[in-house]
Amino acid sequence: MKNIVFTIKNEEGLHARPATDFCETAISFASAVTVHKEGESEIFDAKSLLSILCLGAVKGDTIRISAEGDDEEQALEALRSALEKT
Amino acid sequence: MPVSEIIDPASIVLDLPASNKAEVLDFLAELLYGNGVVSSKEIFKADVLLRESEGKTGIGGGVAIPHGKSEAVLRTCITVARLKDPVQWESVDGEPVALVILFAVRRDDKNDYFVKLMSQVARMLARERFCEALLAAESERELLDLFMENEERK
Repeated sequence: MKNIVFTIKNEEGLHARPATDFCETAISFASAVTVHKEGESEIFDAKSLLSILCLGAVKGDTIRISAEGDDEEQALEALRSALEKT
Repeated sequence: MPVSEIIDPASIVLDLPASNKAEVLDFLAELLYGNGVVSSKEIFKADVLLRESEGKTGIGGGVAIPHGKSEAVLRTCITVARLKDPVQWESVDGEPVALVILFAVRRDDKNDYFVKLMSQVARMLARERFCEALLAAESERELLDLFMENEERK
């Protein structure tokens, strides 16, 4: 399993288009992908839009994304780019 | 603020007859206008549709959570419509939508506030039994009570 941390920079937080893009990017990989806020124990499925909305990440929040599977590195790289685009 | 305090009891509708998404949004915008929540039906609707164009609001399981952050919104509130028959909607599971939870958000509200409000509602909706109960509620009051009983108390 590999993981990355990312601090949300987008004013709108992780919802609407950023959340949809994030979720669809996660779905496009075979690896299992989860996300949680740094310092919090609740873990969310990155492949579920509802789950991403539950996470409720706002600007300034640091999230940790974890992927496990054959394409875990590619998945994390793609998710990082998806977040940076927003 | 608890979700149940933001739901407008006057804007809960059961068994709304609508044949498509546009009719649903049109009806709800009219209702919110009539209840004094929005100052302009057209501006509000345009802002909801703008958001709709940015990504899917159908979260699966027959539920959609459209929202409009709009200068036309006078007070932030949530309105709930259960449809008589499901309508086509851009949803993550490709299924039609039977329950619409529309967020009307004041433009001046902080983004943080809205994302957190959405997170509270999403957490309720993540519980399958809650969604089933919403779809089965027999009165507007029962639907409102479900939100009151199920919100997280911090």
